[in-house]
Amino acid sequence: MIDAIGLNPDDLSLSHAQAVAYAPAMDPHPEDSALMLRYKDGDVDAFETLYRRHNDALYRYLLRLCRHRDNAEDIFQEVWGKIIKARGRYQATAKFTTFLYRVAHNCFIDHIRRNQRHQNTADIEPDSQASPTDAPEVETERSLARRRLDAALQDLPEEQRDVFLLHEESGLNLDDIALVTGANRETTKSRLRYAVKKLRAAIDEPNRPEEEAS
Amino acid sequence: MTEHRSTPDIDGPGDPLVSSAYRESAAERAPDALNRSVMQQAREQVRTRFFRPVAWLRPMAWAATIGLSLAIVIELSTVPQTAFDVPVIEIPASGTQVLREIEVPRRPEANSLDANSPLANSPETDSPADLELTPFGPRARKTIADDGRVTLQDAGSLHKAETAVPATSSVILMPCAGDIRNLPESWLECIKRLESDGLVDLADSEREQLQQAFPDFKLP
Repeated sequence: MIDAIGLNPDDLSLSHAQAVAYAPAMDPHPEDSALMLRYKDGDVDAFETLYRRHNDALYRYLLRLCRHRDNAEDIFQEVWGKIIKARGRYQATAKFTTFLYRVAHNCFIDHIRRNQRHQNTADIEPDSQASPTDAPEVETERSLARRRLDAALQDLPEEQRDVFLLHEESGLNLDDIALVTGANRETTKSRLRYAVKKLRAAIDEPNRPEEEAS
Repeated sequence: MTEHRSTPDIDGPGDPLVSSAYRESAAERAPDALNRSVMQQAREQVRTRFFRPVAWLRPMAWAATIGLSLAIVIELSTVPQTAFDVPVIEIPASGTQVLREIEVPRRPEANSLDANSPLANSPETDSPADLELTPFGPRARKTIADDGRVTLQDAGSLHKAETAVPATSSVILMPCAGDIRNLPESWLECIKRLESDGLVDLADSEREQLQQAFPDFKLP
């Protein structure tokens, strides 16, 4: 699975033994790969730390990529199940985040092939984060902007939405996103540019056609 | 669960306003049920991995036990059956005078015997003549092999040496041995003494050997 990412094993800065030996003792915030290697050796607490770092971001990525909460939760469990089962073969040859989102991306693609339910209308609603200090007019405008953004995000082509969500949720750079999606860097950059442009237009445009219709 | 949201790298064509709007919009967190399920799966996987060698050793232990048992059974089955099949005859105490040859396969250590034991005071020799008069108790047990050799295991007078002599230690006797067999008359006399002492089987065996050794000699 890791080999499928195609990274060079020579990129390792620490061997397995070194990473396991020094990571917990020297770094209060050990690298993801060190945590994964500790989990590989049976340290469940290390996995819990790793999981808490990534679980919410991965959940949001899958939720907005699938646009269906049940599917997102199924894929979420499938992804972590694969990570857990693959720990015996894990080698710190790539960033763990790249590994994680690569698995998630592949699981989503497999899900699309198995089930076409994701093409149905979205069943998720954006969470409201109203600030009590904001004036009602400002909050109303922000809420409308969030709704427009969410609608625009759902309308994005799947590849553009995937790249945008990876950019926002995983914190990966363009090279890593290209690695996750299997596209080249320029294609990834182009997809992200188009996605951001459409989303910005949705935010700036207060009166979209569907809102006028409603 | 702890919120962790990385800041995207700025090398891409990102837009801070879009990112900010997205982050205000997307604030979902993984449900607790999912978190518990994943963590439970992680724990079970580790537990399974570390218990796997124990589960693997158990059938190996059973296989080793069965293998050893079979090896012992096969080994026992290859032991010569004569050691088990020879008849056991109760002989009286007076029968010891006709025994001529005594073979002791495992002689006990002299210094480990009781000082009162007759074996401890006897000279160390394997000569049948020296062992001919070894006193046997009234319940001495004797076995006859196919070749005429007699195994006699004492249960009476050797009891004092039991601590030093293994239980399997036995005395193999051959009646009518030595010069007695040189002449058919003396051999027959020995056979008659065996018969008079009630050792009919032993006498018959000696008689057969006498007939084979001296075919021209007419037995009464």
